[in-house]
Amino acid sequence: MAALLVTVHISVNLLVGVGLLGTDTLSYSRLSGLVANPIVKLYLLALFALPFFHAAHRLRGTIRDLGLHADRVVGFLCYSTAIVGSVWALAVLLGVP
Amino acid sequence: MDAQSGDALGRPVSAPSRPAAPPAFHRPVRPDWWLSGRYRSPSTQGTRAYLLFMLRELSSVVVALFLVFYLVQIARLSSGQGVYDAFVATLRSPVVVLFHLIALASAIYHAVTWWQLNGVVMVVRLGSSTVPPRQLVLGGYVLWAIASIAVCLILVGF
Repeated sequence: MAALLVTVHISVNLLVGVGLLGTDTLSYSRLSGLVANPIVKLYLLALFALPFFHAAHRLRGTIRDLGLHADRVVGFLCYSTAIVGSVWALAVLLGVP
Repeated sequence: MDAQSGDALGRPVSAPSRPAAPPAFHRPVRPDWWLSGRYRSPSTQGTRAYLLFMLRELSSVVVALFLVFYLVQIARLSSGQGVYDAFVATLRSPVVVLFHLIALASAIYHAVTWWQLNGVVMVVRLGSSTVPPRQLVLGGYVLWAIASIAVCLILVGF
Protein backbone atom coordinates (compact mmCIF):
# COMPACT_ATOMS: atom_id res chain seq x y z
CA MET A 1 0.00 0.00 0.00
CA ALA A 2 2.82 2.34 0.82
CA ALA A 3 4.10 1.77 -2.72
CA LEU A 4 1.09 3.84 -3.83
CA LEU A 5 2.62 6.89 -2.16
CA VAL A 6 6.14 6.27 -3.44
CA THR A 7 5.12 7.44 -6.94
CA VAL A 8 4.77 11.03 -5.71
CA HIS A 9 8.19 11.03 -4.09
CA ILE A 10 9.84 9.57 -7.21
CA SER A 11 8.01 12.10 -9.39
CA VAL A 12 9.08 15.12 -7.35
CA ASN A 13 12.73 13.97 -7.38
CA LEU A 14 12.45 13.32 -11.12
CA LEU A 15 10.87 16.71 -11.89
CA VAL A 16 13.64 18.46 -9.94
CA GLY A 17 16.18 16.33 -11.82
CA VAL A 18 14.91 17.28 -15.27
CA GLY A 19 14.51 20.93 -14.24
CA LEU A 20 10.70 21.17 -14.35
CA LEU A 21 10.70 21.97 -10.64
CA GLY A 22 13.27 24.33 -9.12
CA THR A 23 15.89 22.92 -6.75
CA ASP A 24 14.38 25.16 -4.05
CA THR A 25 11.48 22.65 -3.98
CA LEU A 26 13.83 20.23 -2.24
CA SER A 27 15.83 22.96 -0.49
CA TYR A 28 17.65 22.17 2.74
CA SER A 29 15.53 24.51 4.83
CA ARG A 30 12.19 23.25 3.45
CA LEU A 31 13.04 19.56 3.72
CA SER A 32 14.64 19.69 7.15
CA GLY A 33 11.65 21.73 8.33
CA LEU A 34 9.28 19.03 7.03
CA VAL A 35 11.24 16.07 8.42
CA ALA A 36 11.47 17.81 11.82
CA ASN A 37 7.71 17.27 12.19
CA PRO A 38 7.01 14.10 14.25
CA ILE A 39 3.99 13.19 12.08
CA VAL A 40 6.14 13.45 8.95
CA LYS A 41 8.77 11.27 10.66
CA LEU A 42 6.12 8.64 11.37
CA TYR A 43 4.81 8.86 7.79
CA LEU A 44 8.33 8.47 6.37
CA LEU A 45 9.06 5.51 8.64
CA ALA A 46 6.01 3.75 7.16
CA LEU A 47 6.99 4.89 3.64
CA PHE A 48 10.36 3.15 4.07
CA ALA A 49 9.66 0.16 6.31
CA LEU A 50 6.48 -1.20 4.70
CA PRO A 51 7.85 -1.41 1.12
CA PHE A 52 11.09 -2.89 2.49
CA PHE A 53 9.15 -5.81 3.96
CA HIS A 54 6.90 -5.99 0.90
CA ALA A 55 9.92 -6.24 -1.42
CA ALA A 56 11.59 -8.80 0.88
CA HIS A 57 8.48 -10.97 0.74
CA ARG A 58 8.11 -10.67 -3.06
CA LEU A 59 11.81 -11.39 -3.60
CA ARG A 60 11.62 -14.45 -1.36
CA GLY A 61 8.72 -15.82 -3.40
CA THR A 62 10.40 -15.01 -6.71
CA ILE A 63 13.62 -16.80 -5.72
CA ARG A 64 11.56 -19.85 -4.79
CA ASP A 65 9.67 -19.60 -8.09
CA LEU A 66 12.98 -19.55 -9.94
CA GLY A 67 13.67 -23.01 -8.52
CA LEU A 68 16.05 -22.29 -5.65
CA HIS A 69 14.79 -24.48 -2.84
CA ALA A 70 16.40 -22.81 0.16
CA ASP A 71 13.38 -21.00 1.49
CA ARG A 72 14.53 -20.83 5.13
CA VAL A 73 17.88 -19.27 4.25
CA VAL A 74 16.45 -16.97 1.57
CA GLY A 75 13.58 -15.91 3.82
CA PHE A 76 15.97 -15.19 6.68
CA LEU A 77 18.22 -13.09 4.44
CA CYS A 78 15.30 -11.19 2.86
CA TYR A 79 13.51 -10.32 6.09
CA SER A 80 16.72 -9.50 7.97
CA THR A 81 17.64 -7.05 5.22
CA ALA A 82 14.20 -5.47 5.59
CA ILE A 83 14.67 -5.21 9.36
CA VAL A 84 18.12 -3.63 8.94
CA GLY A 85 16.70 -1.16 6.39
CA SER A 86 13.82 -0.23 8.68
CA VAL A 87 16.08 0.29 11.69
CA TRP A 88 18.36 2.40 9.47
CA ALA A 89 15.33 4.48 8.41
CA LEU A 90 14.35 4.95 12.06
CA ALA A 91 17.90 6.03 12.95
CA VAL A 92 18.04 8.47 10.01
CA LEU A 93 14.66 10.01 10.86
CA LEU A 94 15.55 10.40 14.54
CA GLY A 95 18.91 11.85 13.50
CA VAL A 96 17.31 14.75 11.59
CA PRO A 97 16.68 17.39 14.27
CA MET B 1 4.69 -69.60 23.20
CA ASP B 2 5.43 -65.94 23.18
CA ALA B 3 2.18 -64.06 23.71
CA GLN B 4 3.76 -60.86 22.47
CA SER B 5 4.51 -62.00 18.96
CA GLY B 6 1.63 -64.32 18.00
CA ASP B 7 -2.09 -64.10 17.43
CA ALA B 8 -4.69 -66.42 19.01
CA LEU B 9 -3.61 -69.30 16.77
CA GLY B 10 0.07 -68.75 17.38
CA ARG B 11 0.77 -67.34 13.95
CA PRO B 12 3.37 -64.64 13.87
CA VAL B 13 1.89 -61.17 13.68
CA SER B 14 3.34 -58.87 11.14
CA ALA B 15 2.37 -55.53 9.70
CA PRO B 16 -0.34 -55.82 7.06
CA SER B 17 1.40 -56.32 3.79
CA ARG B 18 0.52 -53.31 1.71
CA PRO B 19 2.46 -52.35 -1.35
CA ALA B 20 4.82 -49.44 -0.63
CA ALA B 21 3.36 -46.08 -1.64
CA PRO B 22 4.75 -45.00 -4.98
CA PRO B 23 7.08 -42.02 -4.78
CA ALA B 24 5.18 -38.75 -5.07
CA PHE B 25 5.18 -37.40 -8.59
CA HIS B 26 6.59 -33.91 -8.96
CA ARG B 27 6.12 -32.36 -12.30
CA PRO B 28 9.52 -31.00 -13.25
CA VAL B 29 9.51 -27.20 -13.37
CA ARG B 30 12.22 -25.50 -15.36
CA PRO B 31 13.70 -22.35 -13.80
CA ASP B 32 12.75 -20.46 -16.97
CA TRP B 33 9.06 -21.43 -16.78
CA TRP B 34 8.07 -17.75 -16.73
CA LEU B 35 9.68 -17.28 -20.16
CA SER B 36 8.21 -20.35 -21.80
CA GLY B 37 4.88 -20.54 -23.53
CA ARG B 38 4.18 -24.03 -22.19
CA TYR B 39 1.97 -22.73 -19.40
CA ARG B 40 -0.33 -20.81 -21.68
CA SER B 41 -3.97 -21.28 -20.89
CA PRO B 42 -7.21 -19.67 -22.01
CA SER B 43 -7.22 -17.47 -18.92
CA THR B 44 -3.82 -16.02 -19.75
CA GLN B 45 -4.83 -15.62 -23.39
CA GLY B 46 -1.49 -16.88 -24.63
CA THR B 47 0.15 -13.66 -23.60
CA ARG B 48 3.32 -13.18 -21.62
CA ALA B 49 1.29 -13.27 -18.41
CA TYR B 50 3.96 -15.15 -16.47
CA LEU B 51 6.69 -12.79 -17.62
CA LEU B 52 4.54 -9.85 -16.55
CA PHE B 53 3.92 -11.58 -13.21
CA MET B 54 7.67 -11.90 -12.63
CA LEU B 55 8.22 -8.28 -13.62
CA ARG B 56 5.51 -7.22 -11.20
CA GLU B 57 7.11 -9.15 -8.36
CA LEU B 58 10.52 -7.63 -9.09
CA SER B 59 9.11 -4.11 -9.49
CA SER B 60 8.69 -4.04 -5.71
CA VAL B 61 12.44 -4.60 -5.38
CA VAL B 62 13.13 -1.68 -7.76
CA VAL B 63 10.88 0.51 -5.60
CA ALA B 64 12.81 -0.62 -2.51
CA LEU B 65 16.09 0.34 -4.24
CA PHE B 66 14.68 3.81 -4.90
CA LEU B 67 13.74 4.08 -1.23
CA VAL B 68 17.32 3.26 -0.24
CA PHE B 69 18.43 6.15 -2.49
CA TYR B 70 15.75 8.38 -0.95
CA LEU B 71 16.79 7.39 2.57
CA VAL B 72 20.36 8.45 1.77
CA GLN B 73 18.93 11.75 0.50
CA ILE B 74 17.12 12.35 3.80
CA ALA B 75 20.14 11.17 5.81
CA ARG B 76 22.19 13.93 4.09
CA LEU B 77 19.95 16.48 5.86
CA SER B 78 21.72 15.77 9.15
CA SER B 79 25.16 16.24 7.53
CA GLY B 80 24.60 19.93 6.88
CA GLN B 81 23.38 22.07 4.01
CA GLY B 82 26.53 21.75 1.85
CA VAL B 83 26.43 17.94 1.82
CA TYR B 84 22.67 17.89 1.23
CA ASP B 85 22.80 20.42 -1.64
CA ALA B 86 25.57 18.40 -3.31
CA PHE B 87 23.33 15.31 -3.17
CA VAL B 88 20.32 17.17 -4.62
CA ALA B 89 22.60 18.40 -7.45
CA THR B 90 23.23 14.75 -8.44
CA LEU B 91 19.49 14.42 -9.22
CA ARG B 92 20.30 16.20 -12.51
CA SER B 93 22.73 13.49 -13.59
CA PRO B 94 21.36 11.45 -16.55
CA VAL B 95 22.06 8.15 -14.78
CA VAL B 96 20.05 9.27 -11.73
CA VAL B 97 17.22 10.55 -13.98
CA LEU B 98 17.14 7.17 -15.76
CA PHE B 99 17.08 5.38 -12.41
CA HIS B 100 14.12 7.53 -11.35
CA LEU B 101 12.30 6.82 -14.64
CA ILE B 102 12.70 3.05 -14.13
CA ALA B 103 11.62 3.36 -10.49
CA LEU B 104 8.58 5.44 -11.46
CA ALA B 105 7.53 2.95 -14.14
CA SER B 106 7.92 0.09 -11.62
CA ALA B 107 5.92 1.86 -8.92
CA ILE B 108 3.11 2.78 -11.35
CA TYR B 109 2.99 -0.76 -12.76
CA HIS B 110 2.87 -2.22 -9.25
CA ALA B 111 0.12 0.15 -8.16
CA VAL B 112 -2.01 -0.24 -11.31
CA THR B 113 -1.88 -4.05 -11.16
CA TRP B 114 -2.71 -3.87 -7.45
CA TRP B 115 -5.92 -1.91 -8.05
CA GLN B 116 -6.90 -4.16 -10.95
CA LEU B 117 -6.39 -7.20 -8.75
CA ASN B 118 -8.24 -5.55 -5.90
CA GLY B 119 -11.28 -4.95 -8.10
CA VAL B 120 -11.48 -8.65 -8.89
CA VAL B 121 -10.81 -10.26 -5.50
CA MET B 122 -12.58 -7.82 -3.20
CA VAL B 123 -16.34 -8.16 -3.05
CA VAL B 124 -18.15 -5.12 -1.73
CA ARG B 125 -21.86 -5.45 -1.10
CA LEU B 126 -24.13 -2.45 -0.91
CA GLY B 127 -27.48 -3.63 0.37
CA SER B 128 -28.44 -6.57 -1.83
CA SER B 129 -26.25 -5.64 -4.81
CA THR B 130 -22.53 -6.06 -5.39
CA VAL B 131 -20.30 -3.20 -6.47
CA PRO B 132 -19.00 -4.03 -9.97
CA PRO B 133 -15.21 -4.62 -10.23
CA ARG B 134 -14.87 -1.69 -12.65
CA GLN B 135 -16.11 0.74 -10.03
CA LEU B 136 -13.80 -0.73 -7.36
CA VAL B 137 -10.83 -0.32 -9.70
CA LEU B 138 -11.91 3.24 -10.46
CA GLY B 139 -12.35 3.92 -6.73
CA GLY B 140 -8.82 2.68 -6.16
CA TYR B 141 -7.43 5.10 -8.75
CA VAL B 142 -9.38 7.98 -7.17
CA LEU B 143 -8.04 7.07 -3.72
CA TRP B 144 -4.51 6.86 -5.14
CA ALA B 145 -4.90 10.26 -6.82
CA ILE B 146 -6.24 11.94 -3.67
CA ALA B 147 -3.43 10.52 -1.51
CA SER B 148 -0.83 11.51 -4.12
CA ILE B 149 -2.14 15.06 -4.43
CA ALA B 150 -2.20 15.44 -0.64
CA VAL B 151 1.41 14.27 -0.28
CA CYS B 152 2.45 16.39 -3.28
CA LEU B 153 0.93 19.53 -1.76
CA ILE B 154 2.81 18.97 1.49
CA LEU B 155 6.10 18.04 -0.21
CA VAL B 156 6.13 20.72 -2.92
CA GLY B 157 4.28 23.37 -0.96
CA PHE B 158 0.91 24.94 -1.46
